[in-house]
Amino acid sequence: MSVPLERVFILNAERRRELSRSAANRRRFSVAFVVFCSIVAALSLIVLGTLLYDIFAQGTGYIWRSSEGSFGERVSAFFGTWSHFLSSPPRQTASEAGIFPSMFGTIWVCAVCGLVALPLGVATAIYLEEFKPKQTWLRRVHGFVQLNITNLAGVPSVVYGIIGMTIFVSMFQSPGSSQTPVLEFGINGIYDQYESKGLRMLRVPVDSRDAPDTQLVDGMTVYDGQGKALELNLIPVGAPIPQDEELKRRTLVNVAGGPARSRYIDEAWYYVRIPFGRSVLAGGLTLMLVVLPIVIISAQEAIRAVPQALREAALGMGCTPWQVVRKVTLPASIPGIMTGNILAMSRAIGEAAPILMIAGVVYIKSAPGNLMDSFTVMPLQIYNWASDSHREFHDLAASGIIVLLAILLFFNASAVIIRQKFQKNLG
Amino acid sequence: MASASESLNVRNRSLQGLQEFWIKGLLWLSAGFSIAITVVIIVILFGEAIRFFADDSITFAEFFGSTKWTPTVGTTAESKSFGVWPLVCGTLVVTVIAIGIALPLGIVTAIFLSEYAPRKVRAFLKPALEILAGVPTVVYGFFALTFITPQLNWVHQLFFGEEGFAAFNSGAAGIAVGILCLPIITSLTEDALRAVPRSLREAAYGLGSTRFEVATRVVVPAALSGIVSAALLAIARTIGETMIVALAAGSTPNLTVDPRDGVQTMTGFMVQIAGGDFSNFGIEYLSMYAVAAVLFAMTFGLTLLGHRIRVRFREAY
Amino acid sequence: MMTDQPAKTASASAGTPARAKSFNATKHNGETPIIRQSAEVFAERAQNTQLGETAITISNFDARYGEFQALKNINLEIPEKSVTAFIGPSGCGKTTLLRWINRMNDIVPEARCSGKLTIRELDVLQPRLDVVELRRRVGIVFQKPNPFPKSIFENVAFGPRLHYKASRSELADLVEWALRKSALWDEVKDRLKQSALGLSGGQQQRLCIARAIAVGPEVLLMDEPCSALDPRSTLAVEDLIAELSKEYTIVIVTHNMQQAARASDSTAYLYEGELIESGPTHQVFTNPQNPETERYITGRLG
Repeated sequence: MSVPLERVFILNAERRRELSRSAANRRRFSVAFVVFCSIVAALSLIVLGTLLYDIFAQGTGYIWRSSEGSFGERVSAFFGTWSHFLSSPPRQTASEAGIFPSMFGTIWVCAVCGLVALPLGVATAIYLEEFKPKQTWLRRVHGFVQLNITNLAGVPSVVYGIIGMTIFVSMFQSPGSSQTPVLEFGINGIYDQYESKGLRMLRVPVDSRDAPDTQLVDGMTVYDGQGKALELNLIPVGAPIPQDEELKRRTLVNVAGGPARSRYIDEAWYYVRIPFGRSVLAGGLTLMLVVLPIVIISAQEAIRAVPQALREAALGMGCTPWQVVRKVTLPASIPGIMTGNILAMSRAIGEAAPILMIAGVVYIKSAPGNLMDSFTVMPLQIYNWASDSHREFHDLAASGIIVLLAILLFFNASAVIIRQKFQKNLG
Repeated sequence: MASASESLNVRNRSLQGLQEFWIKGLLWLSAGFSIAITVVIIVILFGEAIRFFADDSITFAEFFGSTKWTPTVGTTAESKSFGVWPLVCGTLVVTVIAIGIALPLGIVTAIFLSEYAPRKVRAFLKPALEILAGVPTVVYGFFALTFITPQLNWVHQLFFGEEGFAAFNSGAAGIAVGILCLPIITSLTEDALRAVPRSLREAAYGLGSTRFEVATRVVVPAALSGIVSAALLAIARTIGETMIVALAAGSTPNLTVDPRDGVQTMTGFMVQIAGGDFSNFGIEYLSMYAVAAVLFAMTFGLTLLGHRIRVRFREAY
Repeated sequence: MMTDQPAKTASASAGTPARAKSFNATKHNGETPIIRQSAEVFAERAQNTQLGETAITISNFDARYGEFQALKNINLEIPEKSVTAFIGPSGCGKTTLLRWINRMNDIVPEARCSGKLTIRELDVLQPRLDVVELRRRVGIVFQKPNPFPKSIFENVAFGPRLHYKASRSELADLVEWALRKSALWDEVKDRLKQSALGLSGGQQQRLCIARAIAVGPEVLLMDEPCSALDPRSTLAVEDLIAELSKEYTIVIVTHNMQQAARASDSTAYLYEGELIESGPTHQVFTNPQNPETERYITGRLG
């Protein structure tokens, strides 16, 4: 039993004409759709353009407007303000503030992050790609590790921030703190510190962090900021303050309970302590957790791109698996791995959320001097300025963004160059 | 002679074997590290969350039932209220706005890139999208605060005669997160569209399809699972987005869906607690872990699902 | 590669005195049953073939991909309601010619052509042509079966849905008709809702043919439709082609000489972008006018 032919409309010219859709309309609709798609696609360009324009206008406009004089003078003032911005610490007054400490904070933190994440990530990638086990249950473990890394890449960076805070900053809420460490190493000296009438720091060495206050005696030896020994001039309350500048510098007024004192710890560059506290090391290690999955995944892709034939050739010549990796796979995939690493580091440079949890909202006026120093990074400095209610600080944030974007552009451009330069060499 | 060279040979082998062994062990340790990270995340988040719920004044029912979130009010646990819904609601409002913008725009852009764009246009558009994807989120947050909100107010004034958007609002934050997600959705969707074999397109053209019909009736349906997975991964990213909402969405936990109002998201709350001066052992500090656990569970589930769908769809061809 | 090689062997032996014009001359290279069978088929064909009016006219036709000239000055007439085979070694341009007949090459960015190509009175190459309507009238089946990842029903209904506003019941009738026509109905009638990707290769290719005829074309182009199929499926598809040629003008590209001999009424031999010879299949195969053709055919058969 088949369909009667008269019911098949395609064979019936009249019915066919009745049902026919207008080809012209369909074509017009299709053209309209293609135009629509191109407009939408252009939208992302417009957004990018608007974003960049807005930030550049805001980040440079106020500097230009504040400059005066002839065009040449204005140009030189413009660059003068920029170099001031790049070399100064943040201040209460917007016009004097700069981004210097946070630039160095970024360098320190990213160095720590890169030194740990890159070797660890590449090693993991090599293991996952080149040492695939043959036993069924081990293969399952392998697949689990792979899935786990994919999932780690999807964990929000703020969650890594919390984890980093728990592990590195407070070290599982260990009893110590950054002021009273459980363990420390690399202290040059501990001092009681006073500010003299001549606005100089005078230091007296003490035995330990919790040593009792120093009993100041007139004529005792104290040290200034440079470590130079001075003779203390302790005067009673109400006594006239000496006019001589040299004497004034080493003069303290012996008020009731002793002059205002703070405890100063002279830390060596290799100073470490436990817990880490809100330090560069804690920040770098936390950032390492964020970028590690990215490093692993990109390195895996680079290694996977090496033709299987090369490996087989090396194995056929009697190389051990590690020799294959060292002599064949790694040299062939190093440009790809480098590209991935650079992109991962540029992600680390721009990351703010986990660092905000580690470093907190703090005012940092100098670059970190050791791994245990408190710090801030550029995105965080930008966040601080942007969340300020005064408009002048928004301008500063825009200037900071320009610097940040310039650094990222440099990183991405070098990744592109490496990719293009070495891609052709790979078979 | 022969035996000497043989023994030398054997010694070399065993040395080599030893080297292979410890290198492999080292690599294995690196891989094991990633497992350790996951374990640590789960232990810390859920361990601290359990400590939070162990507090007498906190109940599960309150956390998941109450609509009041005031962890920083007062000093005693009794004066604070821990109902997570305002935070979840804030996150969802931002997510809906962001995905509502990024998903259609991203899919259409991907269709353009994969089906219609001439090579020269593609060579221009792809890097632009990569730049957009590489811009730090704090920059988008700043953009939302200083550009999008004023523009939204301008539009609002045009239609309603007055400025309606608060200085901090979920609308601007949502739009900025949408811009952030646009390149992610575009590139994942484009991958999915490009994976559709050329022969299917030819079949459709051969039957007399227009370019629109080829894209919408053959290519997009064939790539649907890839597009769904792209959407899921983008949602996961949106839920976990922090700096944009911290800057532009505000810090008042409101149970509202009005995009003109400020909201606090889960991530926003975490940043507020961690960045502030709250005691490290207070109950509000522990509540941060409970919120983080909820956030982690949500993104983990979405990522897992999105990845599953993606792998499955890859196997189809 | 595979087709080039025998052709070269043939030309190497072309200089020997054993070379002859007649079909029987190939016997000296070794007898094969296929030739004998073919000879009978040809004899029968020669009596039965009544080539109809010209359906497609190609004249002074050139085609290029960028700098590469794929076709040079092709002049060919394709008769209606019969099977015309394009044969020739790989890269000779036969697929290019086929794909220009329904302008499939429009989607290849660097493909260009000049000359004249008409189907009945329709100038196919005019720039303002409605290619959508052209492709409805000129269906195409590809080398590899390429069903959509949809149900069997949706595959066949895909084309009609594009071009017609048919009701569900009308579509169902049409789908059944097309599937019967392509000799697939009995195998799939119970699983029309299942994915077409679950069918075997031969079934998939017949489904693609059903899909192509469901829009009511006049011409069917087939680009090596059996090259991805096993011998059994190949025979099924060839039978189908013979059946369909009663109603449709069919143009088939093949590099399988036996298939051309078995399934086509007329044959055109192309070599390096040029049309060497064309005519009724029995004539081209048994009595080629051009020594080039003979070399190719004997190289293949012998």
